[in-house]
Amino acid sequence: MRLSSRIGMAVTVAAAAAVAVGTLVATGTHTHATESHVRLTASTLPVPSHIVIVMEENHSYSDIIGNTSQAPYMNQLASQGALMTDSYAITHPSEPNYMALFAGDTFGLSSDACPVSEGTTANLGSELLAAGYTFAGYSEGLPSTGYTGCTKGEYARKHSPWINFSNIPTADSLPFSAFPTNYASLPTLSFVIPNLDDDMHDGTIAEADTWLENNMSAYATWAQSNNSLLIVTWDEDDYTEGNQIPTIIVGQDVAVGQYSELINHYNILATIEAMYGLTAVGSSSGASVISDIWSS
Amino acid sequence: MRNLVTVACAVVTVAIGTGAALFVTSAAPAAGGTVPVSITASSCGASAGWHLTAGAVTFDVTSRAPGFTSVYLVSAAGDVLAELPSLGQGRAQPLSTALTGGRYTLRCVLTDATVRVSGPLQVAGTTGGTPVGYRPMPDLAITGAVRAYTAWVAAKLPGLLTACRRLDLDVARGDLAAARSDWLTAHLDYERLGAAYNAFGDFDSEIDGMAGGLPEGTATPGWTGFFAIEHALWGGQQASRVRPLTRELVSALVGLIADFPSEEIDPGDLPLRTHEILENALEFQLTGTADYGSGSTLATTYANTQGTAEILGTLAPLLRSLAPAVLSAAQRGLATLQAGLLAERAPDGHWTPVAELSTAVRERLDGTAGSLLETLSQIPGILTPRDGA
Repeated sequence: MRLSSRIGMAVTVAAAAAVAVGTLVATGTHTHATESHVRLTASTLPVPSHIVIVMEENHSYSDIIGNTSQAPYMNQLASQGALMTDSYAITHPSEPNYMALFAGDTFGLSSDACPVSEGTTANLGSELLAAGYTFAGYSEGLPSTGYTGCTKGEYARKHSPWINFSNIPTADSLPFSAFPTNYASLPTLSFVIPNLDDDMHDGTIAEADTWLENNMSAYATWAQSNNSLLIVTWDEDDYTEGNQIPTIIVGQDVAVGQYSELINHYNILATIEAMYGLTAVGSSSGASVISDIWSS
Repeated sequence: MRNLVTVACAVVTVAIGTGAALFVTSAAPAAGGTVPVSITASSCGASAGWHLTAGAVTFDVTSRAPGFTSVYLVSAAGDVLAELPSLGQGRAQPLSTALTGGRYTLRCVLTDATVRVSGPLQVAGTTGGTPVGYRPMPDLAITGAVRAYTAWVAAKLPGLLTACRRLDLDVARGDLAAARSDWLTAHLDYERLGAAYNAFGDFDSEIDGMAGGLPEGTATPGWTGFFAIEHALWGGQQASRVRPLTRELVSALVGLIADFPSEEIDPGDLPLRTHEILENALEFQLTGTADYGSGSTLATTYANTQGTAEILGTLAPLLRSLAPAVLSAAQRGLATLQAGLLAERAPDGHWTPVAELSTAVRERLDGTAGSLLETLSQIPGILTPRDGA
């Protein structure tokens, strides 16, 4: 709702070309990998062996990017990959944004309701599975594999949207403790959901930054030489009409730089669907694919 | 959030004369002018600046910078006098205000958070009717207040549950006199938490939903919560008819306590609730609309002032640095309203039902509340994040 208000005042933005701008983080220049073994689709999208999406909570772009005192690792990550400088959440509060990224729709949610059940509605996980790929959600603090309760300690189901769909096997909803150390054994695509203390929902920016570095930096390094991607994004900003969020994409065949095309969760979803040739679900159908951040 | 939008938009929609001359550096200064401002990724209007005379001015702002740019007209003291919260690439919008003599700048916060600053805007002469500026608050500055308020609410919920259990036990043993007394204690406990209702989700309507808007009003099956219990307790219902409602109340509280740690109090809610709680009190409590038989709406209003005082206290460190006069006026107004309400409470603790208030008292309470609301309604504008301004 608040995003609409903002757009209403600002008038519609013309989607910018892929021009790297700004001085805060990266140099703004694109680097091009000199060699690549990555399979590319016709539209030159890579087909990553693995994608890990880490969801952070409730902070705006400017809360994080440039905030090197509280978020040094996140800013370092941003300088290692593609920093999307014009990335927006869909709405407020949290849950509809998670559903939007995972299934292309907010499903009419205007709260963090629990439980939500969307049955066999197609979503990113079900489309991957149907196409022969693999999927998992790793939620820190999930009491047990397939747990369906709303909350337990610092775990909250509202941040783990796959549980809301019956076409995702319960065995694919795992505690983060099951996240492998042999990254080659990761599913094709997985989400990592830090708990409420570690995703800057309840904890501080600095705590979330440390958690991300401690738990994901090895994968981030590995991904850059193993045809894989790490996407770190935020469900929403903290309350503004703007709802501008940081979105960082790191990995092999990502051309380092800042990219200012207007995107939201649906563009991220559409891009992943296009990579694997999946049927676009919900509002990701028709959303433009992010095609300019890849070196080729 | 509607208020925030209203505030932000109001700044840019001030009616201003048009068709006046264009002013650039070294041009003859005059009033009522229009100044073109072009924003790019590397500039925020003319680097050489402008010279104007005091009076109305409209900046015709066009953005060629990628994404959305926020534009702020800032005084030499650092106060934001006018703003365009976001301007899309390729779009133009007027930024209108009135300026008295002094030195100003335009600050453009680009979509990637880079800040570009214009050359100096020199204004000669004096004029009245200039806006009161906002001292800009960074987004993260309110984080501490939200955490503190969330912790306060979390700490209050167990006591509220205890009060609701006491009410339920009264009804269970058929002591409806005790139930009526304990109902008020529990209800007032809830009414002090007003800034958190949004974070309570569906629990709020289960716990404190009024009958207005329900298909069969007070006869609607499934109407639960404090007001339904009040309606039953003061409507002569037998204990056996009241008990399902008090059991459901306890159950909803248990559910809320389990759920609350995973909920978030929207940081934008705190500044809004400083006036919205009392706005509701003015509409529903001081009018008696929310009286379902107990005649306790003045007590509820007083609990609402306590809830407002809690938020104001939480936000006080921020307001003291950004707008100390508003904080002082709000605290004075709140104390006056509380004193006026307490004057209607008898020594035995019984509150005068609003229907029995004299016209003079009613007018005085309405006037005090209205004046306080005017002061409090400034707070959302003051505590709007303006990073980079």
